[in-house]
Parts: sequence; C-alpha cells; structure tokens
Amino acid sequence: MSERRTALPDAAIRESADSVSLGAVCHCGGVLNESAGADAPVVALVGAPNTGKSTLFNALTGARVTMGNWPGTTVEVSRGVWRTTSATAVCDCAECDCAEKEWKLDITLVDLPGAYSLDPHSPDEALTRDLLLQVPGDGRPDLCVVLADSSRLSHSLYLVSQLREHALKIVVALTMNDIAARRDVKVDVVALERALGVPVVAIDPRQRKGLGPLAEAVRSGLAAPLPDARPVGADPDDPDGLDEERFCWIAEAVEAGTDGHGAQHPSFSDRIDRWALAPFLGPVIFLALMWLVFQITTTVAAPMQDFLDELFTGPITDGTLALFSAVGLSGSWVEGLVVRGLIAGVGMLLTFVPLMTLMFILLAILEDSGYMARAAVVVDRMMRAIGLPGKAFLPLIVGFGCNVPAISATRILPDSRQRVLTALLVPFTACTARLTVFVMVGVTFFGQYAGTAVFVMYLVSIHLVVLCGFLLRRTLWRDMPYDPLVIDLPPYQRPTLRLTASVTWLRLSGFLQTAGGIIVATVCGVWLLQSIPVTSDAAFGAVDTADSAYGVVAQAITPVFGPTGFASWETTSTMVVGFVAKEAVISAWAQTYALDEPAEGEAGDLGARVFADFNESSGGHPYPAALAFMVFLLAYTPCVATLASQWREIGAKWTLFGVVMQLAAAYVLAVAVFQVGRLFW
Amino acid sequence: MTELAARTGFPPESLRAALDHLIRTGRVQAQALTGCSPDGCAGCSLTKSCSLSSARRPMRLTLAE
Repeated sequence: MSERRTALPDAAIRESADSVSLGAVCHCGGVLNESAGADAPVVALVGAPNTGKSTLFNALTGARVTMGNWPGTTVEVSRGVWRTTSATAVCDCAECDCAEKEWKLDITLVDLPGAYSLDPHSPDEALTRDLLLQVPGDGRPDLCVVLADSSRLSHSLYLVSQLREHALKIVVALTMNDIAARRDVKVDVVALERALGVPVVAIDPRQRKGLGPLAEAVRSGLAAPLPDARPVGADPDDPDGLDEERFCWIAEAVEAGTDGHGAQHPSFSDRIDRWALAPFLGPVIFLALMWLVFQITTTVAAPMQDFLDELFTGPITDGTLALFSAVGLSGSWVEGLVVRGLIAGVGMLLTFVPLMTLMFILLAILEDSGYMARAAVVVDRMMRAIGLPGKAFLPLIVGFGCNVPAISATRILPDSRQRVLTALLVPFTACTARLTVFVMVGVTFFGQYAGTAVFVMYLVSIHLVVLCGFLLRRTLWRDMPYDPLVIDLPPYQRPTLRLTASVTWLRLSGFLQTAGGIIVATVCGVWLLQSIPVTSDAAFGAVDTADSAYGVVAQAITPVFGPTGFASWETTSTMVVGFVAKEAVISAWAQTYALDEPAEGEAGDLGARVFADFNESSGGHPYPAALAFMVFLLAYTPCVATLASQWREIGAKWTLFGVVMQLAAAYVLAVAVFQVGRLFW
Repeated sequence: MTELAARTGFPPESLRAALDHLIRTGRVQAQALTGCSPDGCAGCSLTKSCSLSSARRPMRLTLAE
C-alpha cells in the first residue's frame, strides 16, 4: 500500500485571513497559536458503523470527553477536545533565525452516530444528516472526517459521494488497512485522493498510527476555502438515477485508487464464521459466551461487592460512629443522616462499581473483537418475535445478573428506539438481588419445593419480557420498521488493552456522574422518612419504624394491596425499601419485626413471622399470597440504581413511563395470581 | 454476482456495495433460499456453490413492489 500522500501546502495555513483561530499572521517572532472554547473549530467524525469512528474518537480525545444524548433525542453524541500540535516554520525570512514554532489548535471533535448514507432509516442517521446539512451554516461542523473501510471501500464511499454533492470540507480517513492488505487490496492514497477530490489519509486508530498526518490534513482543510460541490447530472428527484451516478463515481474512484480486488480465498474471519454463524453451533457458541459473561459479572464481581459492602457497613460505619461519639453527637439526627443516609448511599453506589466495570470490560472486548455483530445475526430471528434486533439479547441476558449494567449495555444497539424499548424490558429480568428474596420466601413457604418456586419466577420473568416487548412493539412503536438484518460483519480482531480500558473508563465515569447523585439522594430520603416521628413523641431520628413517616406511609398504602393477599404494613413497607434496593428487603423485614436476619437459605424466626402475617392477611391462603408477593417483587421497579441508569440512557420521560408500566404490571399480575390461586390452594 | 458484474461493467466489490445499498433502502428484497427446487439439483444453477448446511445460503434478490 502506498503511504505517500500529497500534503496540502502549509502556505494555506499562513495565508488564510479568515481563520482567526489559526492566527495566521506571520511575524519573525512567531506566534504561538492556541485555540480553545467557543472559537474552536468543530470537526465531525462521520462514517458507517464498524469503520472505527469511536475508536478514532477515543484515540484523539482521550479523557477529554462528554457523552450524552443530543437535546430532545435519545441519540447519543459524544464530544471531546482534540489537541493538535504542528511544528512549522512560521516565516521564510532569510535574515532572521526563526526556528520551528509550535502551532497548537484545540478542535472540538464530535462523534456522530454511524450512518451508511444521508438518506436516514433511523433516528441516528436522521440526526447525522440534520447536523451535517439541515442546520444553518454556522451550526454545521467546520470539517468532516469521513472514515472509510479500506477492505470494503465501495461500501464506505457512498456517504462520501453524497457529502461531495455539498460544499463541505472533507477529509477521508482510511481504516482497516491491515485487513485490506491481507486481502491483497492495495490502496494508492495519492490516486484515490485525486479521484475523490478530497484529502485522504491512511490511519490505524487502534494502534494510533497515522494520527499526525490526519491532524495535518484536518488543519490544512480548516484553513482552506470551501470546496466546490461535485456536480450531479441526475435529477435530484430520481433516486435510481442518483444512485447510478454515485456508484459509477465510486467505481471509477475505486478502480483508480486500488490495485487488486481482494483475494477470493476464505479469510481468517470467514473460517471462524463457518462455526460462529452455523445454524446449530452458532447459537450454542453464543449461549456459552453469554453464560460466561453472566457468570463473570455475578461470580467474579460478587466477592468484590461483598468486600465493599462490608467495608462500608463495617469499618467505615464503625469509625464514623466512633467519631460522632467522640464529639458528643452519638444518637443524633446528624449521625443518622451521615451513617444511614450518606454513607449507606455512597456505599450502595460503589458496590456497583466492580459489577459495572466487569460488564463494560466484557462488552468492550466483545465489540472490539468483532463477535458482537455475529451475536446479532445468531439471535436475530428469535428477537424478531418481540420486534427487537438480535443485539438486544445481550442486555436482556445481562439483566439476569444485574439490571443496572444491563441498562447501560443497551448502548450497543444502533437505533435509539431499540435502546428505549430494550431498556424498558430489562427491569422485567429477574436479577440476583431479587433472587435472595425469592429464596427466602421460597424456603419459608414451599420448603423442599423452594427451588421449583424460584425456577417458576424465572419463567415468569422471561414471559414478561416477551409479552411486554410484543405489546409495546404493537402499540408505541408500531411504525418502527422491521428492518431486514443487513449488517457488515467486521473482521475479527484482537481487542486492544488501551481501547478496552478507555471505553470502560468512559462508560463507568459517566454512570457514576449521573447515577451517583440519584442513588445517594434516594437513600437519604428513605432515612429521612424513617426518622420523622408522626404518631409518637419520640425525637427526630429516634422513632420506631412503625411510628415514623415511613411506617405511616406503609400503613396508608397497605389497603391497596388487599386483593394481593399480602396486605400487612410490615410486608408493604419492604416494597418501599425494595424500591431503593432489593438487597435490603430481607434486612428491612427483619428490622420491622425487630428480629435478626436469617442465615442465607434459611427461614429462621423471620420466616415464621412472615408466614403468620401472610396467613392472616390472605385469609388463610398464604401460599398464593406468597406467589403473588414474589410476582410483585419480580415485576415492579428493580431498584433506584436501575432508575438512575435508565434516566441516563433513555431520559426522564421514558423512565417514568417504565415505572408506571412496571407498577401496573406488578399489581395486576399479583392480584391475578392470588385471586385465582386461592380458589385452588 | 460474476455475471452481474460482467453485464453491468461494475467491479465486483462496487456491485456488492450497490446491492447492499438497494437492500438497505428497501428497493431490493433479499431472501435466503432454504429449500431446493422441486426438480432437484440437476437443473439448478447453484449446484456447485449450494450447501444447505452452510451458514451462507444462496440469496434470492427481487425488486420491491
């Protein structure tokens, strides 16, 4: 492959009078030019999915990134600062001693959603088109870097052909050059540049090669005047004519710019795909990998979570209590706020870090290796039954470990509507936190059949996901098209440590920033309710739970649960705690009865009290009531951390919709289970 | 694909890109062939490349209505 390229003359930088940000006035003393803030040029990364945009974005911006949904949409757009430096002679004075000066230019880099063309077939592609073409001139990026896959150049150049029909500054960045070389495709960068009429740079963002020449090309492009649009002979209202003209242009460019049309022998990726995509073996491989992901995120993270939990409930809490005792504030409301509010809230947040970190690492590895696209193909037919793409299976399967990282995992879905739908279904997956309560209730009420009862809950969970997905698809997203699965399978690649770490850190820090405040505030809120005396003269923070605002609220809502069979305030109060975290349900139950928590897998004294309460509240039908309770616990809001994660991914409106939907489903199902069950049991 | 490339004069890679584009925009529908012709393999032009156990089945492309 030719690596020689024709650099645009640096005179373009010096002579540009319009580029204030480049400060191109030439003096012998030189000008150290630094651009930042509102005056910084904006460069957009554009390209089809799987061309390496996000990898390049991470390589260019490092940690200088903000990620979030574009205002008014659920489409994610990342922005970052790209710091470029160029060492050039600032003048050509023969008499002075002008050494090379550094020209620094900070560029605002925007990573737009993947798009095959400017004719959108999803909200993501529509946003890309709007940001490039529809907004007024000042709002558009100053330059577009279009990523093109060298090994499949024709597929990537359609977008370039459309962009060239507008007066836009473009730089084409060729990726996957190693794949092209393995397929005997030789790219002549100079000839391709001439054919396309725009600068072309070969890069490898995973290995961070070619980024310097890319920066040079972008700086030169920013300084250059707007290019003329490529003339189009076809009628703009004739899509077939336009496509024919564009593909003729593409074919000519590819013919001129490449040597060799790719070897016909199967590639390494093709050989693996014979197994990975096989009708029978493919799903087996997929399920095995998903089981591994599930096991790692629960098993490996569990000891770390336990350690953090014990750290916060042990030494940190004990130390804080000792501190408050030393200053004479032992037993005060301040101590209660700090220990049972702030420390408990921060502790809960940080216990998710091992889980989230592992999940993000595994996701990054699956995506970077290229296997994620295969997984989408393998499960596509099954997921279509509920109107979701194959990739949606991964967040759902992760949800059986923990709903919080599962919500974040919806980011792998290319379409924002699919992300919202999947994020609404994830809470119906039975996470491990619910499992602890299922086991306790199962042992209490069903003895040797406890395992069967728990297994039934998992079946109910799967049916809930399928049914709700089907209903939502037929109602709210009726117009979401059933797109045929046309997917570019990227070649398999060895994941890079740097990229995996970078992506993991970006996602984890984003979660902590957004979800942290919500979780801590909610835990503090529950403490506050449990501290406010309502029906007794006890001091603030020293009141019995039953006499606190918490207890009063629980008693107030208890009658609503009459038809469910578990209408006792001690039980309904656990629903309030369960809203915060399912892990706290059993301890809250024990606290309400002023009993010790039972050992894991045993009912203990708590189980006996719970059984007695259920027997009374259900009118002698404790077993259907127990099942109804388990179903309610399964279906309603998993925890406040899940809400926080949903808020971040799909916004407040959809999160609140999800809460209402889950509560409604939980109540209706619980009533149905009890009312029907008590006829037989 | 080879025949299409010969008839249209497009390089195979560009032709494949064009077909993928037409499928993505809905102007061409693609269906994987899962069964065989009732006349058997003798008259089938895909005999040499057909493998029903392979992950990559022959595709039928039709213009969308």
